Amino acid sequence: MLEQELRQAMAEDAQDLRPASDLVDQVVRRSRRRTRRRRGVLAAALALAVGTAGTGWLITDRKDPDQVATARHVTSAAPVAVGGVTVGYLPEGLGAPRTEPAAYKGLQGSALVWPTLRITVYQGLYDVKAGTATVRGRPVAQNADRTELLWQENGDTVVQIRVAPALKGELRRIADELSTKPQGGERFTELRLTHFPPDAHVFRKVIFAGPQLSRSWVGADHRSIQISTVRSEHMPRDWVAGVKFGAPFQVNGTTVRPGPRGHSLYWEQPKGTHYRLAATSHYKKDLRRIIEGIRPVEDTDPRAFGSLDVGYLPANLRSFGDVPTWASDGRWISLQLVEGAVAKDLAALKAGSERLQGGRSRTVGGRPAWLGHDMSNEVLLWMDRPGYGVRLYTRGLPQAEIQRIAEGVTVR
Amino acid sequence: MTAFADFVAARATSLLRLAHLTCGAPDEAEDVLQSALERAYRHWGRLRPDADPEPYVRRIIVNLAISRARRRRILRIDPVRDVPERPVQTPTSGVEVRQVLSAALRGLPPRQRAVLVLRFWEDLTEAQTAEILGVSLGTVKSQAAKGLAKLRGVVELEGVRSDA
Repeated sequence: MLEQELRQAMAEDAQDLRPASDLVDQVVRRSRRRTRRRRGVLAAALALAVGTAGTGWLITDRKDPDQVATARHVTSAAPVAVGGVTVGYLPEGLGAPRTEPAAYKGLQGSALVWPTLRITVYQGLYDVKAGTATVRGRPVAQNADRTELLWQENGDTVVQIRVAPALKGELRRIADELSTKPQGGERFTELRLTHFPPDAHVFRKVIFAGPQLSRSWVGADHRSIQISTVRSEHMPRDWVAGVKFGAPFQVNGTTVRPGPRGHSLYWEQPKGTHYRLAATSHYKKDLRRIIEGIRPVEDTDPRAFGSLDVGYLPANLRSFGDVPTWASDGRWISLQLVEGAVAKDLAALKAGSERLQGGRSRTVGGRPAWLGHDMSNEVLLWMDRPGYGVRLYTRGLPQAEIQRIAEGVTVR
Repeated sequence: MTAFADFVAARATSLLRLAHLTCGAPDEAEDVLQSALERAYRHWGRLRPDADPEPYVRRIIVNLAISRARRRRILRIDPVRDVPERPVQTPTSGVEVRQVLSAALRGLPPRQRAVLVLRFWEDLTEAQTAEILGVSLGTVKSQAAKGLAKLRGVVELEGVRSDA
C-alpha cells in the first residue's frame, strides 16, 4: 500500500531529528529581539532606507562585503585555492585574501576573504533546487540582488560566493572558472568508483545491509545510482529472476552483463563476489563510464575515521571504506561518534538514541555504558568523556564480541 | 514561562518532525519551529489554562511552512540530511520505494505536502486537516488524491514496486 509506505518513509525521514537543547532560550531571546525591533521602528526604517535589509541565505558571519569599497575589475593571473576548490579567475586589485574557518549549522568549511569578495567552501551536502541558472551544469541558487551564488560542486562540496554590489558583473565569471581537484572517488567495499556523471553533484549516501550489501547515492528529482554486492557461488536469485540479460561485454578484463532496458550492469570479480550497478533513467546512460572508472581500493581495511579509531573487528567483514561500517554474512557493525550537548552524559546519549528499547547498564573500559536494542540492532552506548559519546550498532554478533569491539574503540 | 518551557520540553521533538515534513528541510524546519513557538510564546498568556496548546502550535507550524515554501518557489535550498549508517531488514525494493517517496514528497506543492503529512503522519481526519489548513473538506480530499497520485506516478516511473 502506498499510504503505508508513505507513513514509513516519513517516519524514517524524521526519526533522527532532535530539537536544540536550548530551544526555549532561543525562542525567548527571539521574542525579546522582536519586541525590541518593534519598539525601534525608526531604526528599522533607517536600516531599510540604507538597503541593509535584503540579506541572502547561508549567511556565515557578520562580515558583509556590501559594506566595503569596490575593486577594479581586471583579470588576475594568480589562482588561489580553498577547501579543494581552485579559484581560476579573480578581479584585479583585491589584494591578498585571508583564510578563515566557516560553519553553517551542520556544514563545516573554510573561506577566502577579501574586502569585496568572499568564497566559502563547505564540506557537506545541500540539495540546491534553483531555477534554470547553472554553474558549469550545476543548478545554482542566487539571491535577489545577484550578489551571491550557492551550489553543490560535487558529492561533498558546497560553494558559496558573495561579492560587493560593484563586483556583481564579475560574480558569474568567478563561479564559472572555479575548478575542483580530482576526487579520490566514491568507495564501496573493495571498489573505488572514480567516475560519476558530471551533474551528479547532489548525492545522499545510504547503506543497506539486507541479503546483500548496497550503497545508494540519491540525488535531486528522485535520481539515484545504486551498487550492490553479495558473496556467493551464484548470482542471487532475486537479481536474475525474470531478468533477460543483454549481450555481455568486457571492461578491464571482466565480463559485464547488461540488464534489461540498460538500467543495470552485472559482473563477478573475483570469483564468488557478485556486483550489480543500477541507475534510474536519468543516469543509465552513464553506467558504462562508471563501471569503466571502477578501481580496486588500496586500503581494504581502514581503522581510522575522523576522531574514531577502531582497534578490534571480527574476521571476514567487508568494509564500507569511508564510514565506520562493516557487514558480511548477516553480521553488521556501525559506529557513530556523538558530540556536543546530546552527549553531555549517558542519559542524554540514551535520550537521543532513536527507538532505543530495554537494556541495562554496562561499562566500556570502566566508563558508563548502556546496552539496549532498536528495531533492527543491538545498540551499545557509552560515554568517552563529557561531550563525546559513541553508539555502536550491531547485528548478528554475540555480546562478548560487541563488548570487545567497544573496548577497542578510541576517541581522539 | 514554566508552562511554556514544560510544553516545549515535552513536545519539541514531535513538533520539529512535523515542521521538517511539511517544510522538507531540517534547517528550515528548525527556523519554522522557532518562529511558531515564538508566536505561541507571545500569546501564551491568552490561552485558556485548561486548553491544550499543541493543536494551536501545529496550526502555526503548518501554515508557516506553507507560506515560506510558496515564497521561495523560485529559489529553494533544501539541505540534505546525512542518513545514519544503519542496516535495514526490509527488502531493498521497499527501501527504494521509501527513498523515492521521501524525495517525491519534498517535491510536492506546499499545500499538497501538508495535506499528506497531516493525513498520513499525524493521522488526522480529513475534517481535522481542513480545520488546521483553513480550507474546505473538498480541498483536502482533492489535494490528498492529487498528492497520492503524483507519488504513485513517481514510484511507477522509477520502476519500483510499492507493494514490496
